[in-house]
This record gives sequence, C-alpha cells and structure tokens, in this order.
Amino acid sequence: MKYQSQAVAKPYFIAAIGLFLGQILFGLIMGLQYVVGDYLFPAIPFNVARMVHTNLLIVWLLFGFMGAAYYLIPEEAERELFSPKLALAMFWIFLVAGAATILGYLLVPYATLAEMTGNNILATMGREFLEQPLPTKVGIVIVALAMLFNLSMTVLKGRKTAINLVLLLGLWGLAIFFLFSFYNPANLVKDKFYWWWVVHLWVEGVWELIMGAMLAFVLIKVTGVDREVIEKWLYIIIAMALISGLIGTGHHYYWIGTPEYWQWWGSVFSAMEPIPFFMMTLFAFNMVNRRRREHPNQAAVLWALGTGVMAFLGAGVWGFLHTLAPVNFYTHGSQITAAHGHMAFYGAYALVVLTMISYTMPILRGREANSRKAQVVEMWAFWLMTIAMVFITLFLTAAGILQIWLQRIAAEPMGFMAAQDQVALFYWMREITGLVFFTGLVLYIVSFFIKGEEARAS
Amino acid sequence: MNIAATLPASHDQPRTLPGDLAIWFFIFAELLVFGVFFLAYAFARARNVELFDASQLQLDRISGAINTALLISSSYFVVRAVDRIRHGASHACAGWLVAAMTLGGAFLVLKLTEFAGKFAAGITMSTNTFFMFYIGLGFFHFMHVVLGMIILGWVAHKAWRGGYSAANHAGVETGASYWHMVDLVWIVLFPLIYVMH
Amino acid sequence: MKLATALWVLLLILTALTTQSAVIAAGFLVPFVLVMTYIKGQVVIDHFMGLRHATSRLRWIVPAWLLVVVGGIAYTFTLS
Ligand code: HEM
Ligand code: HEM
Ligand SMILES: [Fe+2]
Repeated sequence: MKYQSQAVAKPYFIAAIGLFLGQILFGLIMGLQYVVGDYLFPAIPFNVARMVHTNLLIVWLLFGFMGAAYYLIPEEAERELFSPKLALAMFWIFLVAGAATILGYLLVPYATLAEMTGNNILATMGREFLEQPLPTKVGIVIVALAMLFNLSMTVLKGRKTAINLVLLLGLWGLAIFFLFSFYNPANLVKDKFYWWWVVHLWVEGVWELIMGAMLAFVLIKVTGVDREVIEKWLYIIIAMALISGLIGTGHHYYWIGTPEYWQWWGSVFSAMEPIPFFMMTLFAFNMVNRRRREHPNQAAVLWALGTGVMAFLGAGVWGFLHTLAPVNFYTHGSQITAAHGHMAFYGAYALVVLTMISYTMPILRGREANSRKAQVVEMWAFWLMTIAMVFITLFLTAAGILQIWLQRIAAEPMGFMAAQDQVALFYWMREITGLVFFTGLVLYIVSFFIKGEEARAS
Repeated sequence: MNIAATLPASHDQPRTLPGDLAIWFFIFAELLVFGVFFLAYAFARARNVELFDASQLQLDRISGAINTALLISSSYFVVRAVDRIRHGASHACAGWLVAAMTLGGAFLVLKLTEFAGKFAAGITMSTNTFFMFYIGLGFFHFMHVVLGMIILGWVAHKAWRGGYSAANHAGVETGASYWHMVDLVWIVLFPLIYVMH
Repeated sequence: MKLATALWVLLLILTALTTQSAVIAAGFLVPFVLVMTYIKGQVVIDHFMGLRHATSRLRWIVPAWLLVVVGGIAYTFTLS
C-alpha cells in the first residue's frame, strides 16, 4: 500500500463480500421456490426474496465500486485521499442504511414499509432494482456525493491519469443517472422509459467506464505493460461503449408504448454494444501476453482474464442473442432475459469487483500476494463459481427456449404456469448448480483465512 | 527472464495511419453504425418502394446538394490546413480550419431549416418508415457534424497558439481524419436518401 | 495541393451531376448515381483521408466499407 488512506477500501470490500453471500443465499431460496412453490411461505414470499436478492446485488457491487475507487484514486493521483474520515463515515452510514433497508423488506410488508418511509410524499418505490424506500434513496445520493467530493478533490490536487479520470466520470455518471429513480411518473409508459435510464444507462453505459478503469488499473499493476498502451485501449473502449450504449437504450423501448422507430434505433445501436465488451476481452489477453513481469498474485491475473471472457459472453453474446427487435418480440421477459441478466452481472460487474479485491486485499493486509496455498483455493473458487454460472446460464437458456416455444409459438399456446411446469427439470438443475456456486463462494471466503508463506515473483 | 526485451512496445512502432490510431478505431465504429443504417434503409425501401418514392418527393434535393457541396469544400479546406501545418505554418493552418468550421456551421443552419420545414408540415419520425430514416439518420449525422466542429475548433485553437509544428502535428491529422469521415458518410447519405428512387 | 484542388472541383461537379441525374440519366438513374457516389467516396478516402499512402494493415477497412455499402445498396435496388 503506497498511501495510508487507501486502507479505507478494506471495510468496503469486507462488506461487499458479506452482502454477496447474502445475495446468493436468497438466490438459492428463490431457486427452490421456483420448484417448491410454498417453500418458506409465508415467512419469505418469492417477491420479497427477489427484491432482497437483486438489491443485495446492487448494494454489494456499489460497496465494491466504492472500495475500489478509494483504493485506486489515491494510487493513481499519487497523494493521500482528501478525507479518509469522511470515507469511513460514509461506509458506516451506507452499511447501516443498507442493513436497515434489507431488514425492512424482510420484516414488514412492502406496502407498510412504503407508508412508514414517506412514499406518499414522493413516490419512488416499487420498481425493480430501485425498490429502496425514500430515505434509503436519499442516503445513497448523500453517500455517493460525499464519495465523489472526496475523490474529485483528491484527483484535482493530484496526478490526473486516463484511469482515474475515466473512473471518476463513471462514478459521476452512476450518481447522476440514479437521480432518475426519484422520478416515477404515473403514466406507465413514461415510468418504464425513465426506469431504463437508470438501469440500462448504468450497466450498459457508465458502469462500463468504471469497469474499464478498474480492469486497466489491475492490468497495469500485474503485467507492467506501458501505461500509454493501456490508456489508448481504455479510450477506445469507452468511446465505443458510449456510442452504442446511449441510444442502445432503445432495445428496451420496443413494446412499452413508445414510437415504433425505436425498433430500428434500439436494434441497430444495441447490436454494436458487444463491441466494447469484446475489446475488453482482447484488451485483457493482449496485455497479459505482453506482460513484462510475472506478478506473484496469479489469482488476480486469473480474475482479470475471467472478467474479460465472462463479460463478453454474458453481456456481448447473451445480450446480442435477444437484442434485435424481431427476436425480442418472442424472448421479451422470458427466462432468456434471466439467463442473460445473471451471466452479464456476474461476468462484468461481480467479477471486476472480485478482480480488484483479489489484487488489493493482500496489499491491504501487508503483503504483495497471498501464499501459494491461499491462491490455489482462491482459483478453485473462481472456477467453481464461473463454471456454475455458465451452467446456470445454459439451463435458464434451455428453459427459456422451451418456455417461449410452449407459451408463444406453439399452435396451441400454453398458459404461463402450465409452461413453467413443463420446464421444472431445468429449474432443478439450476438450483443444484446454484449450490455449486455457493460452494465456490464459501471457498472464496475461506481463502482469506489460509496462511502460509507469501508467494514471490517467479 | 526479461520479457520486455522480446516484446516490442507498440507505441514505438511507426505510425501508419494519419493521426492517432485511437481515432481510427472510433472512425471504424462510426462507419459500422452508419453502414448498418444505410443498408437497413435500402432493404426497408426495397420492401416498400412506393411509400419511399412518394415521401422522397417531399424532400428539398437542392438543399441536400448544397449541403453536400458545403461538406466537401470544408473537407478540402481541412486538407489545406493539414498541408499548411506540415510546412509549419500554424496560423494558416488555424485559418483553414476556421474556414472549414464556417462551412460546417452553414451546413448546420441549412439542415435545421430543412428540419424546421418538415416539422412545420407536421412530419415526424413516426410519420412513416421513410421519414423515420430521414429524420433519424439526418439528426444522427447532424450530431456528428457538431462533434466534428468541436474537435476542429479545439485543434484550431491549439494550432493558433503554436501547439503544433511541422515535425509534430498528429493532433491536426487526427481531427482531420474524423472530419473526413463525417464528410464521407454524407457523400453516401445524400444520394441514398435524397436522390435514388 | 494542386491535385487536392482539382479533386475538390471534381467532387463538386460529381455532386451537381448526382443532383441533376434525375434529368440527365432518367433511365439508369440508380447505377449512374451509385457510380458517382463510389468515385466520390474513393476520392475522399484516398486523397483527403490520405489512406492511399498509408502503410497500415488497417487501411483496407474504409475502402471495403464503401464497397460493401454501395454494393449492398445496389443489390437492394435490383430487388424491386
Ligand atoms: C454488463 C452488462 C449488462 C448487464 C449487467 C445486463 C443486465 C441485464 C438485466 C438484469 C436485464 C433484465 C432487466 C429486467 O429486469 O427486465 C437485461 C435485459 C436486457 N439486456 Fe442486458 N445487460 C448487459 C448488457 C447487455 C448488452 C450488451 C445487450 C445487447 C447486446 C443487452 C441486451 C439486453 C436486452 C435486449 C434486454 C431486454 C430483455 C427483455 O426484453 O426481456 N444487455 N440486461
Ligand atoms: C447462485 C445461485 C443463484 C440463484 C439460484 C439465483 C436465482 C435467481 C432467481 C430465481 C431470480 C428471479 C428470476 C425471476 O424473477 O423469475 C433471480 C434474479 C436475478 N439474479 Fe439471481 N440467482 C443466483 C445468483 C446470482 C448471481 C451470482 C447474480 C449476479 C452476480 C444474480 C443476479 C440476478 C439478477 C440481476 C436478477 C434479476 C434478473 C432479471 O430481472 O431478469 N443472481 N436470481
Ligand atoms: Fe439494456
């Protein structure tokens, strides 16, 4: 660790991993509810479990992004963080607010929670991923602004590099687009329209900047490749992401009551969206092939390469699969969507956060890399989780194809629930594979507690 | 093992495309988007010839032609600007760039007038597929002219203050390449949407 | 620069021809305009963008783009 203040990243990362574990537990609960309908009813209904699963996902990724930013920005800016105290205070505020929100979901009926938290003053609740009560949303904005202030001041006074500027831009974008979550028009068409401005413009816009910057940072560190080369790649990736991603929002406007031309604009622009993801894959492999040193933290290299590949598969390939309007006409809102959502979120954002954690955690704990033994366990965790995710995606895709056939194409279309019954086998397989994923995650956590002699550069 | 000795770093290879390599990837991506749209237009037209031909008659072909001439000329001015900076003439370079931007501005004005006329006639992107392409593609290209002018303006400013030289003027070539791309796209767009039927 | 100036004038003439082609070449408007367009595009690529003298392995991309786009458009006009 070059700067003392980088240490604030550590609690953020620990919280992220803890919440990740919670997310997966709720995923497993829901996976079982898919096939055993009354499992845990009425204690944890499906809709509540779903909300907890997805909200925990978003919150742990945000913890991860923030931790990563608090680590990365001082190192790139070559100075201490503007205010480590503020960063730490924000950590506790965010953690308490996050925990309270999740408890609220679990303990109180959602409608009551809405009443209790002032949803009648400004209605913002009830939209997927953005279910948080008003005070939580305001809290998120405050935490984000405090972080942006802290980081921007650090960069302003320090060295400006492509990496910290792109990261800052991405984080500012994240905060700004979140503001759309406060606007919830009664008109359902408009509601969806703006909802996507948060959800889509996050994952297929500004988050790509965050991801690109973090990947570039780790790659510079572990490969020793010239900064100039890496920065050039970064710029191109960002440019492509923005060109395709902004208007690409149109791929969500096909059937929600917006004008028909969105079928053209959404299709053509979103069809380009895989390009930046593909370039990230090339980027990662290219840099590792050109490496000028063998970094002792080989696990971090593996996570970085994994991010490149899985992000392209999940976002690029599975995204493209259903992005053209004539295809989406059939696949919209089916298990294909869930397959894509899982692999893309895992491949791009879960993995990039885990890459940052893998690279920084040993350093935060006072060594360049973990012991060989710990790294081997960590790599096992990578493979178990990643392969499990590939199979979860494949099973859901299979379920999706069948579902679409039975429900939407067959000569005598089946009802939704009847079709669900027909594909239950795939849901069972998804659940079993989910247990493998869970095992991988447990191993991952175990790897932090394995001691041994620090690995050295070969 | 010293890997560094065996792996050439890319930035000391000779630059082979004019300007910065990064802008070329950007240009390729832009061309791809436009290309897909042009072909989408062409195929959509083939499936609905009468509608496209009838709608096309409502366009102002002369205005489109003038705009083509404006962009081609501004592209030519940019060629002159690059030539000047290769001889180290910073102010002349900036002058040509400003001239190019002026024509770009004229393009924008004319285009806006055209659009205003269509909107006044009650035509929108939802009118029919032809106008969806005409307005959508036109607006998309319009934004590229704006971006190109911003880039040229930035380069002109730097050139004026002596930021480039005969030996070192990759920035000018970078901006020029982008501007030529904007021109090239319009060279295809104009006959496709305004003329061919 | 003389060449560039001459090409500029050429481009302007071709543009005028394209615009007036409905009158000049009523019968074979489409092939006529497409050839004009191809020539214009190639001139810009070769001489304005300067790709003719570039030595990069990537220099074929823009001309190939032009060929594909113009060719694709030509094809669709044979469909109807
Ligand atoms: C890392 C980046 C990405 C993530 C995290 C992601 C995530 C998601 C999620 C969670 C959904 C479901 C939203 C809902 O609840 O309705 C979704 C939908 C969708 N995504 Fe992505 N996505 C990414 C990139 C892409 C890309 C690059 C494409 C296109 C090439 C794409 C195409 C789509 C489409 C078309 C839908 C709508 C599916 C439907 O109609 O039901 N996504 N995405
Ligand atoms: C490992 C075991 C997991 C299981 C069993 C599981 C299960 C589920 C289930 C049943 C749903 C609800 C689908 C529906 O509404 O019908 C869901 C939604 C979701 N899960 Fe998971 N999940 C798991 C892991 C993950 C991981 C690792 C991620 C991301 C990193 C993730 C991200 C999501 C997202 C984004 C959604 C919303 C998808 C959409 O709106 O289409 N899940 N999950
Ligand atoms: Fe999207």
